[in-house]
Amino acid sequence: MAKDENKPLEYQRRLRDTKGVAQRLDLSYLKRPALMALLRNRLIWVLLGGATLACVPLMLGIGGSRRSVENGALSEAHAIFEKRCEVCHTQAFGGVPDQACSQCHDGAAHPAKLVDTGHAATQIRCRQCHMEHRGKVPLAALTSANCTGCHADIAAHSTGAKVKNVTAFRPGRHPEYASMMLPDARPLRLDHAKHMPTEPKTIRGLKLPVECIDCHVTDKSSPTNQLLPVTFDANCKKCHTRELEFDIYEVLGKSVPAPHTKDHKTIRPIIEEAYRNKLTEDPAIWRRPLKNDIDGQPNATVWFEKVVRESEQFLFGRKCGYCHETGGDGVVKNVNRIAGRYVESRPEGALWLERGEFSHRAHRAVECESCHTLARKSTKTQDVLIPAMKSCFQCHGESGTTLDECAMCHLYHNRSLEKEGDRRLRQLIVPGARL
Amino acid sequence: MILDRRQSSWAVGTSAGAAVSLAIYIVYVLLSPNGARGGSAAGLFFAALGTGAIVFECLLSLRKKYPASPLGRVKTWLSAHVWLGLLSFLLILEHAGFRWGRGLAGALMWTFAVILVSGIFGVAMQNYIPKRMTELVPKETIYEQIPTVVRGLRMEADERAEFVTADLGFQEEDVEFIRAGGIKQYFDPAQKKGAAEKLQVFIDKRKASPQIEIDESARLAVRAHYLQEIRPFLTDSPAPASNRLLGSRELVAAYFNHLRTIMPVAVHDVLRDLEEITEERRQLLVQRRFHLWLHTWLLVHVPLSFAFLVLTAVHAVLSLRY
Repeated sequence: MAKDENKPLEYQRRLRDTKGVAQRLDLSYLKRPALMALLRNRLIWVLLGGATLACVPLMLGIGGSRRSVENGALSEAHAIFEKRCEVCHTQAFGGVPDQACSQCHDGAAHPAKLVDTGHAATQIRCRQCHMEHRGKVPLAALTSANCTGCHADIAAHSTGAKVKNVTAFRPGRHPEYASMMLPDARPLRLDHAKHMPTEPKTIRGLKLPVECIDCHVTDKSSPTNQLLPVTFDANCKKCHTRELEFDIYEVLGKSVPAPHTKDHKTIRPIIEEAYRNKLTEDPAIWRRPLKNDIDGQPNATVWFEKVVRESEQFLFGRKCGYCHETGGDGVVKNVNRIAGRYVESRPEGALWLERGEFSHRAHRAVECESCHTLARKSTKTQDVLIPAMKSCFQCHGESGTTLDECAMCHLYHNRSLEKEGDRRLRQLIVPGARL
Repeated sequence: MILDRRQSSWAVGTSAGAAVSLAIYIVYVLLSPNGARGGSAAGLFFAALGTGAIVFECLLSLRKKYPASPLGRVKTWLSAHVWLGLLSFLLILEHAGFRWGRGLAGALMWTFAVILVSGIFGVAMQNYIPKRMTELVPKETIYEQIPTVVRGLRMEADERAEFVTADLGFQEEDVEFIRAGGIKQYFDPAQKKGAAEKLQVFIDKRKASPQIEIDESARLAVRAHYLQEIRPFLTDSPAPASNRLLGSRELVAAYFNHLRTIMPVAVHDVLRDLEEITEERRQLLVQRRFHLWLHTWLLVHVPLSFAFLVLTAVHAVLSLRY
């Protein structure tokens, strides 16, 4: 027995059998929640609680929290209402009503130009075209699709519209400018070709050809640099003063131009005064024959009446006709001071582009003749030198930019019909302000 | 969920759904003068579809709570969860006009993106890690049992070492628990007591004196190696130094090969057992690491999904309100 006690324990190699492995496991582990699952569940509740708490100010509109619901910044024009959603969102669950827009933009109607008389067949909502909360994008900068939605088949979407269908600003998809077909019966004898000869020359001290801007001056005060009307005093006088000289017998001895007016009553006293002064200066002048006459006049009165009458006839019968068309009675036809198209019945004239807008300022980098291609060849005033639509296609139509959009040239609303006297805008901007 | 041929019908169905929704979206964008808007009829249609899919996604948790529910197999639900989740993100992007939005809408998109990415990460992990685990951790155990198993391994290693070194001075507290694999039952208390006494005699003898005869210097060397290098690795959280020494299969093999080279042949069996134990401990460390990769993404994916659901509801109400 003692011998066995002193005998060392026999070392047996480790045996990793199924039973041994299984017996290491604590079966009660299933009753205890796994650490990961426990952590996950707690996190679920924490985040659920956090999200719910975060939503309370959103739902109640506390502080500026409602701004976080905005999908984007307001346009610059409406930036003043950035924190006052209720100005536009006047009703719940219905979107912004038109009445909210008309609080400030009252009366602006479509079509924009009075030349058009058609009306949309169905009511178009403001928000159909004007999308707010898109950042600093002008609300009027709309894509062409907003227009072609109706104008691609205008007859189906309107009543009384006379315009042709438009699907895009491309050849065959946009009608030619109406101005190309409109007459310009301006009673003048303006010859562009003579003013801009191919070969340089000097006439009456003026070097030709003249430049377009020598006569067609832009109005710097106009935002679109519209052209100022071409007038005799501003543009023609320098070279055409001789056309105002009435001294048919060249008795005055110096150049005395009549004023540039078609009014007989104004001009006649000036002619009379000129000859009366000459008579005072040279009392015997009536004795000398006039031009090809053999004898002089019987007396000073006859001489005076003759030179005045014939000078007046010379001026109105021949001199004015150098530039102006005159009727059979020798009376100069009315021209009016207009920069646009001549319409006899409208003293204020008419726009060349009746439905579109054009800015010379936006095109100032372009040579005039790159658009007005026929100007140098034109010999008649009746030649319409407004560029044809194809000249616009060089830059517009297929550029893939906003240059192609309808809104680049056309207005939608007739802003002149807005009721500007409405003071509600002030009340909207300054709550509590008196109307 | 394993991505294999069984998922092909789901993949085809999801692709078809995505293609159809994209086709509808393209037509919608072409017909909308001002582009896609979340508040338009088509935008709300995409929102309704996307939100429906998201709500269904969240129902997976509920379905898992009731495994015996007749509402289809959990496996099918999981497949639907994954594939519809991908589709729902596309639907929500279409709802938003492929814009990220700002404020609440932006926060929702970011949250959804994080949920989606974490979900994709989870699927990737589920497809990669089990295969790698089979290769690298053949001695894997139940994750929650790792501390219990490590404790057992430690006690076993102590016993093995004490054959060479006698008592090491460690007294592991014996924890009573319900063991798997059965236990030998003694119906006669005397017999049970006898077995316990017999075991205690055995332990006492092992602790009292070395049971394997070797030089004293070798014995001290074994003791030093065990206490300073092997046993620290068998703790619940081995120090970085231990990991550097025994952190890979090759390092463990090299370490014990070296020990067997310098130690007498009499202790080689003990060293082989210690090597097995150390290797098993190392594998459990790898398993733990894999387990974290396999499950940590759920800490992001699931809680965020529920928060996302709440924010989506608020977004829907407030957007329709305005």
